Amino acid sequence: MTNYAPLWCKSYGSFLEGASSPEELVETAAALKLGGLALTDRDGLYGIVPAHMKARELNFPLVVGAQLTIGPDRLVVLAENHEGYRNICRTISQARMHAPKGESHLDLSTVCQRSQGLIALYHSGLNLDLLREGFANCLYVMNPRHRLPHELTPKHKDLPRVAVHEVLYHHRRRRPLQDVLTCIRHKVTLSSAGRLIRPNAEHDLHTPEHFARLFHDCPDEVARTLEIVERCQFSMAQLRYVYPAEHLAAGTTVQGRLEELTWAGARRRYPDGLPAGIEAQLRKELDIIARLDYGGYFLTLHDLVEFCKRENILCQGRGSAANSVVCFCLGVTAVDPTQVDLLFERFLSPERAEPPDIDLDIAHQDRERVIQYLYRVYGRHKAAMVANLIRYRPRSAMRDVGKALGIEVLTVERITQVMSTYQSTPLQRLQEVGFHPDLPLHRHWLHLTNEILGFPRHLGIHPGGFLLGHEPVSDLVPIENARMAERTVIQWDKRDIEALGLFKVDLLALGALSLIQRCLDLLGKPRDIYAITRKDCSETWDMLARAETIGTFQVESRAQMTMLARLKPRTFYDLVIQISIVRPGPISGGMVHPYLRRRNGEEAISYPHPCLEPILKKTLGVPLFQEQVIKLAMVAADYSGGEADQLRRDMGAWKSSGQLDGHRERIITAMMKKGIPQEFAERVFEQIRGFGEYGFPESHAASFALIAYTTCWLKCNHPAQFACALLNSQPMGFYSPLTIIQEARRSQVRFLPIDIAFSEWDCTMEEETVRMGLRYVKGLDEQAGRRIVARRGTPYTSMEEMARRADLDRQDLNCLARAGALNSLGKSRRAQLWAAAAMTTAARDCPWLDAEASPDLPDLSPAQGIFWDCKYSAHSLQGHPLSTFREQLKALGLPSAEQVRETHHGARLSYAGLVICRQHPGTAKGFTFFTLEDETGLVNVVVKPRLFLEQNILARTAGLLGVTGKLECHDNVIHLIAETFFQPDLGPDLPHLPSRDFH
Amino acid sequence: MSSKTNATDPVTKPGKQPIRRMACIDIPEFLFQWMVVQQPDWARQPMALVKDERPTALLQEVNGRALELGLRRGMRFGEALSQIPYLRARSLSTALKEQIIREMAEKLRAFSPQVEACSHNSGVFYVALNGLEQLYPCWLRWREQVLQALAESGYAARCAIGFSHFGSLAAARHEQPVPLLESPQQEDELAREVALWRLGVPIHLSNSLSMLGVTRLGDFLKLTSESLLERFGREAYELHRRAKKDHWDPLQNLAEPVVWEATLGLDYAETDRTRLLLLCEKLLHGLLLQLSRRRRAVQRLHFAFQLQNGDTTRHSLGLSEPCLDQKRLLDLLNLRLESTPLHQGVTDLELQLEEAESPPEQLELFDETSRREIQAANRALDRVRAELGPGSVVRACLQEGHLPAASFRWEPLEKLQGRPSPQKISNILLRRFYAVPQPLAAPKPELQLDGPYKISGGWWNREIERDYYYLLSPQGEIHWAFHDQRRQLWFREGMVD
Repeated sequence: MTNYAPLWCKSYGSFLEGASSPEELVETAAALKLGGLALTDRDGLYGIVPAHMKARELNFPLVVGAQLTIGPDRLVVLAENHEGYRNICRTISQARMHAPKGESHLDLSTVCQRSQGLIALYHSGLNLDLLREGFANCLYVMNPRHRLPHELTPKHKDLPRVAVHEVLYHHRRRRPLQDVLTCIRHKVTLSSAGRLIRPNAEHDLHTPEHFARLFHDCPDEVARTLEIVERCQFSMAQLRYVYPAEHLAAGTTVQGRLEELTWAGARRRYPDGLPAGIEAQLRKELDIIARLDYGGYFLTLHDLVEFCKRENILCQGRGSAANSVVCFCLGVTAVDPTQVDLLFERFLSPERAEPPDIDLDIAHQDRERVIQYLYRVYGRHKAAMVANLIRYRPRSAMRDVGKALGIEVLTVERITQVMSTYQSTPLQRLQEVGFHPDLPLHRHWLHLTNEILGFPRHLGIHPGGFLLGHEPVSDLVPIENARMAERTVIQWDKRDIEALGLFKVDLLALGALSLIQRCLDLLGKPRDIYAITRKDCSETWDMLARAETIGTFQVESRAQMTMLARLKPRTFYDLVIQISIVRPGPISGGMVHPYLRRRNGEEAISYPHPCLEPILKKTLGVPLFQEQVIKLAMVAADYSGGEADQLRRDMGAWKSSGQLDGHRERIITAMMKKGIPQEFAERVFEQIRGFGEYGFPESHAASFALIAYTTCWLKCNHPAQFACALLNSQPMGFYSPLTIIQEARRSQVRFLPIDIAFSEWDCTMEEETVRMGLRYVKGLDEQAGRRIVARRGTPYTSMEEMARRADLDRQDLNCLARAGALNSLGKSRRAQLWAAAAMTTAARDCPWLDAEASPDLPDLSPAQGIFWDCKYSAHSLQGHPLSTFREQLKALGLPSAEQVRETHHGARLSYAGLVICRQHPGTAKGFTFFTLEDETGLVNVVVKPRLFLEQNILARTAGLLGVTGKLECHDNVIHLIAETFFQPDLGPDLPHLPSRDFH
Repeated sequence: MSSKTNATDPVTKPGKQPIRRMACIDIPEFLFQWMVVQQPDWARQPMALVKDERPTALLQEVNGRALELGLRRGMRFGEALSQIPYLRARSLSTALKEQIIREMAEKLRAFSPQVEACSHNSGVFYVALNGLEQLYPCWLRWREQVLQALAESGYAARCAIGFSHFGSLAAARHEQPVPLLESPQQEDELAREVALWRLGVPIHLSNSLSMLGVTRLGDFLKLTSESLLERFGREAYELHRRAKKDHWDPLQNLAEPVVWEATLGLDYAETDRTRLLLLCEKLLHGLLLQLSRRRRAVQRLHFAFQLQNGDTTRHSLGLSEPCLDQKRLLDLLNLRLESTPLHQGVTDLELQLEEAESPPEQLELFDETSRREIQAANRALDRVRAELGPGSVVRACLQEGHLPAASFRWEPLEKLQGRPSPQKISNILLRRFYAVPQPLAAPKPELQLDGPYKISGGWWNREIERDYYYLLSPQGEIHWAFHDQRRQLWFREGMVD
């Protein structure tokens, strides 16, 4: 029986065309014992890395290729050797870079000029003479057969023919999905798709017998497929990635330079001498780095950090890199290894031999400068951003599949509106809004939605990941235009990068660092987080214990505040635990309450097994960190280092790969064999699953704790400057400017209103008082605002004069008048609005014209004044919106937040406040958490799923919300457990403020 | 408030110039009330008007119930539905809205010959009362009759009798509506108290004025027209002048639609077609004469016969192009009459014509010969349609589909545009296929087969899986056949010749 190799295969890497993953194609080809497979995705190599990994695992011949779009025609090219592969990358890069995002423009001459190392499979339409000239004996004519009447055997007698068929899925049961993908791509429904969809299901991977029958009249063409596979010897394993070396002085090696910088840094970090164990650790790490030849990467990070230092930009390494003393000494990270237990192997290990992955957090307002520096140093052709494949999630999948099936758009909309973006939705909920599982069409809908989950839709861009190359990146992987100007992106995502052992540098923007920068600038202090974190300030710990943490990093959410009141951190390590404990990992594992009980002395500290004591001692016998869970697997379940690493990877990818369940049986059984109770083992596994959703490594939590402590220290010791910096850093965090100001005022911070006579664009300090900035005038263009400031000189005496000097138009003046920024000019807001409405260019530029007398317009009431403030400047210094309604609320029997706090546990009461935040965490079993606010503070409300559903409209949309329920007070934590909602009518002057809602 | 008859109304005092009297009839949420009249189960439901029924379409209007439930004008339809799945929504074209307004105006004409529909407030109608004093001695009684008639038609309305557009509208929409204003001074005083939003002031203007604290008509009138023009544009300026009664503001009577209609009542029941046709000819001649004077032509002809037993038969004839050709129209009428049963006898005839502009330039596009040919062909097709119905003349159009039956469709042919150029016939094989595949016995093994060519799909609706073959019979015929894989049956799709 003659075997064959399919040479024209498209995976889902041909977006919205291929209906199988690259792995499925390779697995099926191997299972059918085919002679090889050529992956030829459309104008890209998106799927080649997973295909390569699977082929390597199965020891199956994989040919690297692509289908190139040349005008209306196509040409399939296959890489014979490394040069051929490079030519594929360069050709695709050129085609993509010369076209708008998502498109590819290529002409045949370009392809023929880069034909070295390539085999071309030609079908029709292209200039054959040019192809003969370019490809010579590497040109074949495709003889495609899909059992269609119009397929004619090509007649080019002088060119060798090869039997092919276009593979779009690994098995014909994927045909419906392929039809749907076609409809999505062309934005049509199935019933109107006509000839856009394929006429039959002959695009699966054929068995050798089937293929032989199809080409029974030309067995030589079938055999030729194997000859071509034989010719194509290139493998992705041949890619040799050379990390770009820093420009070193003559006679200096990369490792030598690294060691020099490391020891110098160590002396700086430990001026009193290296602590015990640190020197040995440094030597060990440097030795591993040398053996793995990763020195260049560390030098790059050091260079970036030094650039940030020179430019006075705050930055800090995070993630597993914080396990490294070398990184600490180089200044890349700020976690002192003497303060936390580090696990260097978590970061780098000779067994794993994976490249390091260091994320650098940079003050977000300055990140672009760092990126531009990177481009300057390495060149645009040697630095490109890493992709992020945007994949189908439940809601998007349901919507697109529904439309393709021709289901009525309103039904699709109604159903998808109630679905979660990321998680599955119970079928019952879908049925409530019109989904009918007994209808055949709806059954198709559900089935195809499940099939399409995880399929890529289009290429996005990783937030900050860069691939740096010793050679042009386009020799390694095709690059294309990103949506953002002056940005290019490679066609692989971070998983592909890791799989191939390439180096990625992550430059991430962090708003909290910008906040700290701004605050330190206001204080006239150097931008040095470490200088602050060395201070142990008891007032700061007291503030944390009181949970007065609005605006701080990582510990300001409702859940964190609740935990602060219980945990009451007093040391840096307590803060590390605080940040880690309010996460799906420990929550899913049921570890939170045991830890708190042990910490409060309510429960004895014990260990499920003596072997676990060293791992769990510092967290009182309760696993809280990802590293502890990994170590548990190694010690208690006998995982090797490599297996533990695989477990870590599976934890991170469990939702998309589903591989985590494979560990369950083994971990639980192994633990039980050692005498560890089953209940503990099961909880550990649930914690593993929770960590998969979002778990913190200890080193990462420690990095964050540094920033968190810094923000808390600044807030505690310099509340006014902190508030000012926080207001200049919005939008950020959980709370609105109104809430931030209200809370700051309760801490005795004083504020001055926006005023064109005194305000800058940003909020500023006037002695110890915060002056609100023009940035808070809703609708005011920043350029107009800066002109007002720049041309201020002598004080403005009238609106017309200001408009003239600062070149403002009617719209600008309207915005300023509404926000009350013109109050210092003497007239009421309404009078100013009246004048602004008549401000034409002529009126502005002709001061000699008589100004019309202003009519007698009524003043704003206090409630209206606050309403306008909130609506047109996102805050009010006249009071909280509810303060003017307090008497009415009292008359309705509704207490203030302060009074609620003074009410005893178990009391039933009603309360009304403005909704400022709604949270619906995935671990909360359907519960929603509201934060309501009035002029005296906040009230936390817990809403059961049933109530949220029953009073859905009110729950989701009300600005002012009344809640009746029972008060629960535990450990200084107060929650109102809602039983019913209502909406007090306080008239039209109450503003509807936008809440910040989180999933 | 005392009830006064019109005898003491200032209007009727002798020797005085008659003061204009008008009534404002305000039908709140008029279009929504109309929708409820069409679909009574929509009463008390949240309703919205949308531009179209796409989820991204914006809500143009919402009724009070929808407002209570949190919907707002400008929201997206999909979003609104997710909030209120039982929302009743409809899109109304401009033409339909105009028709609804016209129909209401017609209803109100029963109470006054002069009716004006407010151009910017749908549901507001102004009715002139001058000259009706003899018919309606008491205005309040007149008002009751109007409201009762509307209620019987399913509409809840308000009505106030005043002296001006603005004044009477203000009286109707006052927080405490006043049915009859005694004097223009009373009207002015009352109007000043009314909130601007109640007077249907455009929302953007109302919001801008509200920002300035100008919420009532009285506040609005304190401003000057010129200052409003400068700040808010002509719309505000005109509104202010109307409110101040600064300009001549007569009632703009809604024009009645022009109907080309002729009727004839008989003293007997006519059963003879020929005589009936002659009677129709008489009616038609007069109408065509009127049309031709206005340079219009007939696009469609409606005719109705009332029979002796009280039944009425109605017919409609469309033309491929507008014409004034009496002979042709009678010819078509005759063809239709031939298929109309008349044994009951016709007692009344009615003819109505829909007019259109005659497109003379179309007739100049063709040369004399082809023009005459095309005209003749179209006339013949008109006869076919008249005899067999409007769907009887169709043509085949190609469409994109894999199945033979899906590769074309039949479309109604309105008229021929041009003469097709003669095709060169060459030695090509023509593949003809049957409208419905014909069952076929399984081919004998000795038959030559070319294939299979597979067509499969339709899995989302009706799954199809066919293997197509060309069968060469011993007689040399080429059959186009397929094997239905799902039913395991053979069919002949067509033949090749």
